[in-house]
Parts: sequence; structure tokens; C-alpha cells
Amino acid sequence: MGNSIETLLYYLSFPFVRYALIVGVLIALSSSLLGVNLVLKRYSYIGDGLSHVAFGTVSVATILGISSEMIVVMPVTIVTAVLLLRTSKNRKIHGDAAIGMISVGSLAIGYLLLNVFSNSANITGDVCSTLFGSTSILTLTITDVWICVVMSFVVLVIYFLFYHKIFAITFDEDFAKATGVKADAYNTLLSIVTAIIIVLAMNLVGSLLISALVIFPAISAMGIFKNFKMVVLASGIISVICGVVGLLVSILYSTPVGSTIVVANIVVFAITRLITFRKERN
Amino acid sequence: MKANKTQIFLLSIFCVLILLMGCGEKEREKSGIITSNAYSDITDITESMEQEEESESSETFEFGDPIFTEEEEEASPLLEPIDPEAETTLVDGEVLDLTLLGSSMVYGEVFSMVNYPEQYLNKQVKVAGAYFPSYYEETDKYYHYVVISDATACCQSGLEFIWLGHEEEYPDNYPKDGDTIIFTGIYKKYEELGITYYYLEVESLEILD
Amino acid sequence: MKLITCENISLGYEGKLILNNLNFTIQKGIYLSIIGENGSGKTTLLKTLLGLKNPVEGTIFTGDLIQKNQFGYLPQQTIIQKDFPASVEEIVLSGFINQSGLRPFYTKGEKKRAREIMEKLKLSTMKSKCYRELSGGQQQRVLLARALCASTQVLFLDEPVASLDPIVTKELYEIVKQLHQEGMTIIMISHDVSAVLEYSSHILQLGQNDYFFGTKEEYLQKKMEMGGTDWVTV
Repeated sequence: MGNSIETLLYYLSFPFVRYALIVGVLIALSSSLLGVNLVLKRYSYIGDGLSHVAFGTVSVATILGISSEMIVVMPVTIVTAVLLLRTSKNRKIHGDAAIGMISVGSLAIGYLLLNVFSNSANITGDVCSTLFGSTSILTLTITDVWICVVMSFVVLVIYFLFYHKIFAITFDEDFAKATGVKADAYNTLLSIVTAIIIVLAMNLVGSLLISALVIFPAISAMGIFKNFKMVVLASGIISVICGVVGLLVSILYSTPVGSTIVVANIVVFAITRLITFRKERN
Repeated sequence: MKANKTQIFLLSIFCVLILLMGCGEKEREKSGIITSNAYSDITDITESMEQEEESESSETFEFGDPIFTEEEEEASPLLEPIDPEAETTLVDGEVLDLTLLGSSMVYGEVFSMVNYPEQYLNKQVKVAGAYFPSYYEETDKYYHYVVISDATACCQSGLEFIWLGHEEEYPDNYPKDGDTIIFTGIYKKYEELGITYYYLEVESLEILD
Repeated sequence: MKLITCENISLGYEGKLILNNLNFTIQKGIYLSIIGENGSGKTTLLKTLLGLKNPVEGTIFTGDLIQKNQFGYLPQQTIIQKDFPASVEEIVLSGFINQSGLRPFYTKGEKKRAREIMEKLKLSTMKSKCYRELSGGQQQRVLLARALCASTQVLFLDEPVASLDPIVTKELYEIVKQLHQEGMTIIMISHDVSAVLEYSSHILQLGQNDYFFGTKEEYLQKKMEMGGTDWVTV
């Protein structure tokens, strides 16, 4: 154990490890807070859908030779999020099917385009990295870190300032609208903020595993706590702890980063279920 | 009331992060057994480079000291890939030993070396990886690389190396494509056809079975 | 004083026209019950009055007396809500969102008012309890408390006693009656005709080709004239 700690502290002297931790904490925190609201609105899988759209956009940007993909990926993902999260009550295609179609479609088109047009030597690697986030968290440039810090900060501030409004539209959108609250505007805000975090989170765990960051901490927290404020706080704390532990373990033992973080989340979820089960027994 | 709780929470997260960073620095300084990789102080390196123009091999070594007397590298493009005035003896000193790191760390560090090469100039680096030769028609030369994969072998990074004294010999004495090799080299740069390349200057390399 | 006036309203649902040429005015202080068979458009009408839907045709006027954020609304519960991890107090307080503008917190005044309303509806002992652990009747009272936070003037209720047992039903009706006596305008959708006749002042009955709007007395009169049957064709 002592040896591991020594190695860990040595590793922490490497800048890219510190960058990974900063980005990891911020993303885990932001996605888990939003996750509570998204799960309650039954939009859990939106993370997956949006991240596949982002993947498709990254592919297109790569082919077109756009060096800074973020400029293209962010706006496209945000627009998609707004369109998807708009109340699907009057849609011909309901929310879950819409997410499914856009999600799988983007993934397929993105992969196809990359294979046909890309000059990269290691397409499978690029795809694998984007989908699973194998080592992208360890290869962040200082610019990446700053973008992530600023955007996460923005997301957290927005969530904090609009916490009650977002609660109201999560619990009862009809009531909010009927009593004169600008529910549509807040929904759009939620969509935009979700899109931002999803794009950032692709760096940490990759497209396929993003849903885990959104869903697991929220569900774990909801199993134990009785009021919304505690659920949100607990979700954030659980996510950050799992993110940090998962990241450090994966660096120490050279396991894939994304999967390790998700496993950490699963473990915590199992523990919370055990606690609930014990409580109900008594 | 609620505002304070969230603020405190966020503040504590940042404090933990700062503490982690602080711990990292301290540990690096005091541990003698762990080979260092202190390159976060770029100014230190450049200062010592300017001071110690005539450094000879000595017991105590300032990390970042040049191993050889150095001309200003902003000179006109060298046609020879190797600085002819360089002394090429490897000196006992601190080495960035990548073979001690887990594969995720190695990958991350190599990425760092490729993207922020100036920070690593003149450092001794010990590396193990797969050998990969490549022929480039325009210069009618062979280039040699050591390739490092990440933990899942899904992504790869390569570092060019030049084996002193054996530059023209390929394929004699060279490893086979894909052999695992290990060596310690000095990180340097050269220019060819207007582009700056970074490479590891290697005296001897070992082929692992 | 006119609160809401409907002029030549036509309402549709999924492409079908269900109501045609509705004309009526809701005065301040009345207790209006909306009744009719399933599918006659009661919820659609309520949602239209609340501005959640647009009428296919016609206009709805709300007088100066009422602005958008002075409506109280007790909707039918969704499945999502029944399992929601929030405390009673958090949900009741959310009724004040319409008055808080961009303010990211609730004022002391709002918190005090919420506590008073919870006291009135006998929810004070439960304010920290988790919503999903409450009984159906308790949950309805919580949502009613929330509606009262949103408005001191008008209350729209969509079948508030559906799936509640008789005792709890009676309790809820008594609370609503008390609110009405204190000056609140009540607009309620109900299936319970006997309760409707006991508590309301006005009745709006919706049918496929016809409707009736008038006082309870007028309704009973008309019903007698028509031989006691439901003359509003379904």
C-alpha cells in the first residue's frame, strides 16, 4: 500500500496527471449535478445521444481538416440538445426514438466518413479513443484544460443560480408554465448546459460511457436521500470521488480510464442499494 | 444558507486539488530514489544551460544541464542531422526513466514529449518499446522509431531515435521490425527540409527477447 | 368583475375537433365545476385556460385583474412525480417560482408564507418528509399547498380527488370550500356530480355538440325541465 502511495505521489508530479485530475473532477461534478435532473426527466440516455452526435461532428471536422474541432462540435451538439429536449409531446417521433435515431445515425455516419476519407494512420485508435476515452484524459493540452475549467465553471454557476427554477421544471413543467414561469427558456438553458458538459466529458470517459457519469451518481444518491438538495449534493460528491479514485487507479494499474471510473460508480451504486436494503429490513 | 453550503463544497473541492498539487511537488524534491522528471521549471533549465557552458561530467548534477557544449541552436538549418560538435558520452545523471512507469503514464509522458519538446531538450530518457523503421523517399534515408502503446494498445505514439555510429548501417545490426528494444538517449533536435524534428540520440541499444 | 372570458372557443385534440363555439365568462369569486363525459375535453379546456395549449379558434381574454403568474394549478399527478426525491417543503416552496423572477433564492417572506400554508393544510409535521413516502391524499395536499403559494386569487384543479378514498375526498373538498369562502376563485374539473352539486356555485357541462354554462340553480332548473335526464348530448 505504501508503495502505491509513493508511486501515486510521484505520478502527481507530472503535469498531465494533474490536468487529468482537475478536468476529471470538474466534469464528474458537472455531469452528476445535471444527471439528477436529466434522470428525473427521464432523459437519462441523452448523454449517449449527444455524445454520438459529437463524435459524428468530430469525424466531419477531422475530414475537413479543421484543427480545433471544439469550434464545430460545441455548437452542433448544443443545437441538437435543444431540439431533442424540447417537449416531445407533440412530436410524431417520441423522445426516446428520436435520441436513438440521431445517436446511432451519427455514430454510423461518423465512422463511415472516417474510414473512407481520413488520412490518419490509426483510425481504429482514434475511434477507440473517442468512444472509450482510453487516454485522451492523459493527453490534454493546457488549452484543453483551460477550456474545460472555464466551461465547467460556467455550468456550475448557472446550475447554482437557476437551481430552484430547474427543480421546478423537473418536478412539474406544466405547473411551472401555467403559473407563468418561462419553462421553455429554462428547458433550453438545461439543454445547452447539458450539451456543453457532454462534449467536455467525452475527453474523460469517451462517448460510450458518458451516460454512466450522468446516471449512476444520481441514482445512487436518490436511493438514499430524502430531499432534493441532499440528492444533488450527494450525487456530486459520489461522482467526484468515483472519478478521482477511478482515474488514479487506472493510471496506477494501466487500466482504461473510462471503464475504471464507471466500475467505481457501479461499486458505489451497489453499496447504496445494500444500505437501502438493510434499512428496509429493519 | 443554502448558498453557503454549496460554496463551501466547491471551495473544498478546489482546496483538495491544490493540496494534491502541492503534495506532488514536495514528494518529488525530497525523494532520492525516484528518478525525477522535474521540467515544470523551464526557466531553471534555460538558466543552467546558459551558466554551465563548459560543464564537465561531475558527481553532482544540476538537472537540465547540457551534456555537451552547445552552440545556439537557432543557427542556419543544419544539413547534417547530428550536431558534429556534440560530445556524445552519456553522463551519469538523472534520467527520465519511462520503463518504471505504467503504460498509461508512459503514453501520457511521450505525448507530452512530442507536444512540448522544448521542455525535454537535453534530458536523458530511458525508454522501451517496439522498434519501427521507416523509409522516406525524398531524403533516401531510413528513420528509426521506438513505438509506445497505451494500456489498451489502442493508441500509439512514436519517438524517433538515431543510433550513433550506426546511422548508415541499416539493416545490419539493427533490430527487426517489431522487436522490443530498450535504451537511454538524449533528447535533441535537428532540422531537415525546413522542419524541426526531435529525436533521441542513442549510444547503445538492447534488444529484449 | 370578469376574470376570464372565452369567446367562440374551439378546441381540438390530436387533430380532432372536440369543442365548438364555447362562450362563457368566469367572474371573480365563483366556484365553477367543469363536468362531462370522458373525452369531452375538460382537461383540454382547463389547459387552454391556463395557457398551456392554444385554442384551435377563438380568443381567451384575461382581465387586468389576473396576470399570468397569479394562477394556482393543481394538475393530475404524473408517474414521475409520485416517485420524486424531494421533501414536502421543497415542493411547496416551488410554488413561488413564478414570483421570484431571476432571484436564485426564496425570500424570508416566501418561506414564512409557505409555512403558514402548510400549517393550514396540516402539513407542518411532514415538511421534511420525502414526497414519495406520502399517501395519495397527503400528496394532493402538498400539491394544493404549492398551488396556494403560486396564487392567492385563482385556483385551477384537475380532478383533485380521483383515486382518493371517501374520507380523504371529503377533507379535500372541505379545504377547497374554505378557500372559496376566503375569496378564492375556484375552477375545478370533477367527476363527482353529487359533490359538484353540493359545493359549486356555477357549472360548466361539456358535451359533444352542446354545452351548458350557468349557475347551479339554473343547471338544476334546466335538468328538471328536461325531465331529469342529461340533456347535454354526449
